[in-house]
Amino acid sequence: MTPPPIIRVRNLHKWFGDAHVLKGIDLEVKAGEKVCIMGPSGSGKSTLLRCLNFLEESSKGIVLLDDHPVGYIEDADGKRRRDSEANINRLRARMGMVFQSFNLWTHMTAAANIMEAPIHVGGLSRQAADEKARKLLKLVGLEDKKDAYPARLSGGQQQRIAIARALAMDPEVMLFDEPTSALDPELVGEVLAVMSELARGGMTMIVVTHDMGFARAVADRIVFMDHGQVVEEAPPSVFFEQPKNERTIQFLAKISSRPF
Amino acid sequence: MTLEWKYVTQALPFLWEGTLVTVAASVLALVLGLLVGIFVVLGRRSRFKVLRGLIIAYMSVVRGTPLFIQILIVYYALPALGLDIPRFEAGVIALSLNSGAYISEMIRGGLMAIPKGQLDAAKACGMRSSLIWRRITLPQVLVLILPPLTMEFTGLLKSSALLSVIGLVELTRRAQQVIGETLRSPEVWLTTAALYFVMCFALGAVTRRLEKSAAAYRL
Amino acid sequence: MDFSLSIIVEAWPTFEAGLITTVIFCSVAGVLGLVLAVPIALAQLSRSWSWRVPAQVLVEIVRDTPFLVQVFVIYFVFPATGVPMSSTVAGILALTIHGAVYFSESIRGAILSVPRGQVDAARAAGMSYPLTLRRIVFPQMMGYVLPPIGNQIVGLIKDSAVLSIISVPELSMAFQNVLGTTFAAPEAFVAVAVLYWLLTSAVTLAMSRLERLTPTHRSTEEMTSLLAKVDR
Repeated sequence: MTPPPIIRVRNLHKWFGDAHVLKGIDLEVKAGEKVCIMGPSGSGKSTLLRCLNFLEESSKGIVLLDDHPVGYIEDADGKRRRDSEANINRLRARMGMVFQSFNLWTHMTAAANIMEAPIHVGGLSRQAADEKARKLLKLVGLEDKKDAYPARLSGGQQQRIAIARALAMDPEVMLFDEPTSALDPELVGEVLAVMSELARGGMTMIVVTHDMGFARAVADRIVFMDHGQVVEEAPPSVFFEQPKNERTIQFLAKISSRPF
Repeated sequence: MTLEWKYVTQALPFLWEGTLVTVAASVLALVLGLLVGIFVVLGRRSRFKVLRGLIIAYMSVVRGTPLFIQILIVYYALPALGLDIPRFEAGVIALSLNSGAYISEMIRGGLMAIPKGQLDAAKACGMRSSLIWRRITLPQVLVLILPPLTMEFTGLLKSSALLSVIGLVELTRRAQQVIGETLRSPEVWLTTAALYFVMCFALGAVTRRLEKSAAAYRL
Repeated sequence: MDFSLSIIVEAWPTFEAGLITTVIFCSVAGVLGLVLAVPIALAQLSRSWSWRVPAQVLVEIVRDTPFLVQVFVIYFVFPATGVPMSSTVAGILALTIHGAVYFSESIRGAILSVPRGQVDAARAAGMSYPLTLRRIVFPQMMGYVLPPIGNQIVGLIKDSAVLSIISVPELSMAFQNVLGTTFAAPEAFVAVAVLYWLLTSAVTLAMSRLERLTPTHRSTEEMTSLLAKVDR
């Protein structure tokens, strides 16, 4: 028996003014599954990811987390209405997100970044949150950076703290938006190592990435997007060895000819 | 010319009294100016066109006319409209209306300087907007505007000298009074300048300190 | 409240004379200030402390005392040392020094904002420092220097209002005379504010026109953030 999907996206559309950046996306992600979303820049993959936790508001369609609609609720007659702010925040807390540019809160230490949401959203005691922060810092290999401000950390270290922060609310799903694209090449490895570790632990992961090596090694499934549509979906072995779609073939030729 | 320092030592206690008034007026003007600045920042985002228009006009007038004239307007023109305001209050009102325009720009700049990504990250953690404002935005804006705000306070200490024109007995006016009595103008003016210098120079050092410590955790 | 234009019309000759004096004072002090600002800025950037320290002291003194007190010091202290002083000379001198120091801060910032690597490249090519300044630094810094200079010229005009206190017959002096003859008519307040506003707005407009002509044109926001980085 296969586990039920934890995330379901149905006919999702997004317009930015006149630009139609998501043209009816359908996607299902099962609990424990690792999905890599790939595609050329401007294909809408980051927008799709940001629609999942309602950082971006879709224009049409619906996103379900564990059968709960995120952001917009669809009535019986198909009309959408906005959910309450409190519900949206509750659902968001069940998804962790890691950004391309880390987005650590620069006025807080590494530990404070991790403890912020558990204390103020989750209602955890300071002590329990501190305990949790220690555990997460150990997980990402940065116990010694507990009291460091983000400005004192390298990009790779910042991103690992950001992963720990996203994990602090015990999310059911982790969303990664090009987590290594802003890093110097020599720092990419440490972040991917943490992500692989997380994958081994059974976390459900949706990763927008250009990193073929990571996708090949970790993903259960690759979703390839172009021009706001899902063009091809396949396990990595099939996707990389026998791509079917013409656009996939072109894209793979382009990124495999890149120096790194 | 020989400077006779006994005039300085004689004048100092009087000048000190004036200094206290200068500081009091400047502190009050800074606090009120901060309130005006916050109001302007909020008003600029208002849905009411009239309010936005008024604020644009206010900014333009404050920045386009001399503070000296603004002080005279508050002191002389408002009584003509039936509002009788004492010197000290009139002076503080003029200074804070002037300062508010500049402080609003600092606040706006501080708000813009906070990366949007940090707010995204907070939302993604499930933080509600009031919590994001209190825990993420406000602490950073405060740290960002503290250095320019101390600089603005230095500016207020200096521009409050203009309140001597409407007869407020602050440091500069005190100096003029002392000169009226001793008739030794060079010593008194140099001492007065030195008093302003010490205050402003010290605040300048504080500003640099604050800038440095703010930079410590900015990326 | 009645508002009668006739009061302004009657007082116009007084206002006009004051306006002209303000423009003359600010033009003279502005030009002299700009000329003096370049050596002050270069002295502050100099590697030798015998240049740097005096420039720094001058800058700090001017920045950390009220303009009004500077005017009084110049007007009252100089005569005591035997230097004759009229309100005109004291006014222009005070405005010039004040302007020179603030201009020099902008010029220093603009010099620093020309990428260091370009100076290195010029020196590596065998160009002397003055030649590097003239050919590489100065042409590029125009874009950086104009916006803050524009603001400071506006500041100069506003500061010049203070000179009425030592009886320089400029616009705010004219205004105070009109106040006396009209028994503080509200019209006079409006008129003087509008005149100053028109004057400063004209300068702002002219500077932004000029700015657009420079090769390294940048928006004011960009400039402010750039200068904030190099200031102090």
